[in-house]
Amino acid sequence: MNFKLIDFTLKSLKRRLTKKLSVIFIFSLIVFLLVSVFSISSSIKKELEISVNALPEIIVQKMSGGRQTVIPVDRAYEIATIPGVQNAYDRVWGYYYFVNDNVNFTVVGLDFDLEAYKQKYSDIINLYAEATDTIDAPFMIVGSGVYKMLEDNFYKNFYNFRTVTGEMLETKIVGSFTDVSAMETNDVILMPVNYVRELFDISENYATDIVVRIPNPEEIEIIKQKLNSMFPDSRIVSRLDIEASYQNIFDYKSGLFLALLIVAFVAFFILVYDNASGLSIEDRREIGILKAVGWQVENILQIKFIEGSLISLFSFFLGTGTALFYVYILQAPILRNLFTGASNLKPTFNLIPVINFEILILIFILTVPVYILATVIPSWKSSVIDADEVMR
Amino acid sequence: MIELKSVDKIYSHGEHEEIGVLKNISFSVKENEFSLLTGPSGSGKSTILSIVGGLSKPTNGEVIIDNKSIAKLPDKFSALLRREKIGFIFQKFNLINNLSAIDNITIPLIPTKISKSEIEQRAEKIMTELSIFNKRDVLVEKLSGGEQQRVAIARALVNEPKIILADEPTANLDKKLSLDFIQIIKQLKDAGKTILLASHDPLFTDLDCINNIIKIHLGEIQ
Repeated sequence: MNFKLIDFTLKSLKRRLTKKLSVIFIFSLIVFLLVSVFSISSSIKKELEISVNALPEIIVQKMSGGRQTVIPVDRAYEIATIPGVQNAYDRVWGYYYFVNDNVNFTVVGLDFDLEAYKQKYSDIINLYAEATDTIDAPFMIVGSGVYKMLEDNFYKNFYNFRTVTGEMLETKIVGSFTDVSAMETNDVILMPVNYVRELFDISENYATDIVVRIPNPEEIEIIKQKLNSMFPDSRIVSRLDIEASYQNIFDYKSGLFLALLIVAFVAFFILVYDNASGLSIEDRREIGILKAVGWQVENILQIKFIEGSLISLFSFFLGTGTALFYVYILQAPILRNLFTGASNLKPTFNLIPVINFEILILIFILTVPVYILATVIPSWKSSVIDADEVMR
Repeated sequence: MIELKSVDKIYSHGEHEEIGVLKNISFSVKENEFSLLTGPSGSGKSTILSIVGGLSKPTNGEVIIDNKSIAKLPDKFSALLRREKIGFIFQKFNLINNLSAIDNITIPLIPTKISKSEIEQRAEKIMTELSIFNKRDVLVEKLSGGEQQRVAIARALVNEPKIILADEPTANLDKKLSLDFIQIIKQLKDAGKTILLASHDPLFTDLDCINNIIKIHLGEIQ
């Protein structure tokens, strides 16, 4: 490698700094958009995957007038007798509107869902067991998003819930938790079930829904059909149904991202076309001078290759680095609302860092070599004609 | 050293339009000779220099440089020929404006295997000889016309060529700078260079160091 050629190229870039900086800015912006879009998309897909995997195989909800209502707990015993069902238990939970921040918290009675939480959150179970033994009053363990909101509103140790009967329920905060999937747990408040019943005024014979655990995935559909005929007043929701509805929302939102991607690619190809469509008079003159003083075509192509590589690689890594910082450190302000919606009804969650190398390589291939070619080809066209013609 | 035999040059514009620029040009310049190509503007002097320097190919005829025919030499080899044997001095200097004087002068040697420090030493030596060393790091666009021409001469000499081709070198200079240039050309001849200079400046015609005057008119030798 002739380092003098690299040195000459660097000097050449330096003297065209303003023009080249604008190219670097546009190139980086395009890569930034592409990488941001794909990173947010990958991250949210991962979130949904984790959320779906954590769901029970079937949830039974009692309906009244087309809306969900409380379900008698004794149905859980009936369901548990169905062959293929490993376990069926009732859950008591509901949404609590936190007026200060205009969001909904999901308040879950923990006792009835211990098994589900045991597998993933042993530290929560321990904390909960310890609190049950020592505190003879309402208490709660809150998701990190809830914890932050309460803390911001000066509720560091306790919060006064207002029950549906208008009573104040002073509830002690005994701990908080986070999970890989923030979407699933960020807005959750875990409380002893009796206090959740008090908060939402749900009597002991009723629950919010019934969870059905089925070890064999092949049997889910059959059991769903059985439950449908056993409880015609109920809605039977399988994990597949929820997964499909998540996917529908995701696909719908992807359309917006697709539009953004198209804009980014069009902008990139305009940049490339502008580069490839011809050299300025000054560039052609310079090629002529280099040829006249004894440079070979390959020498000219080498400096153009180095120039294209330096600009495109620098822009690619700048755009990629900025995008990853924007998505995973700054949490993609503005852009992520396109996917998740700008709803204030749920606390914000953190995007899981998911680096999709296949996508990064694809963006690299679609941008860097294309730009290098767009730099080299017009110079090659100018350098293969007679030097005196180039200078004329 | 330089020999042209029955050289024609025809430029084609489109399929049907052809312009004959040179017709049956034959002459020779021996080693260490100083030949002057003279004639009015548009007579074909610059085209002859382009062909001798391998910047352009003749339509017909033979061009021999240092006993080698270059008329049909591939581009790669004519570039090597220029790099090794020829120094060009252009009418408009053809410098790269936003590079410093030293960076312009060293350009011909960048693709070679000569080390950067040696290239700079060579360039500095020539700059000293041409009294422009104090302009070493100044951008050429900030130099006067005379200084720019010296930079162009230094660039033509940095590869230590046997042949110097100069195209209207005094066209952009006043009389004093033109006389300075003539002194430099004389020194180059004394240093053993073979010089082919194209100019219609009358200052050159009376020089005693000129061995041969070739008069061109409408693309033909008179």
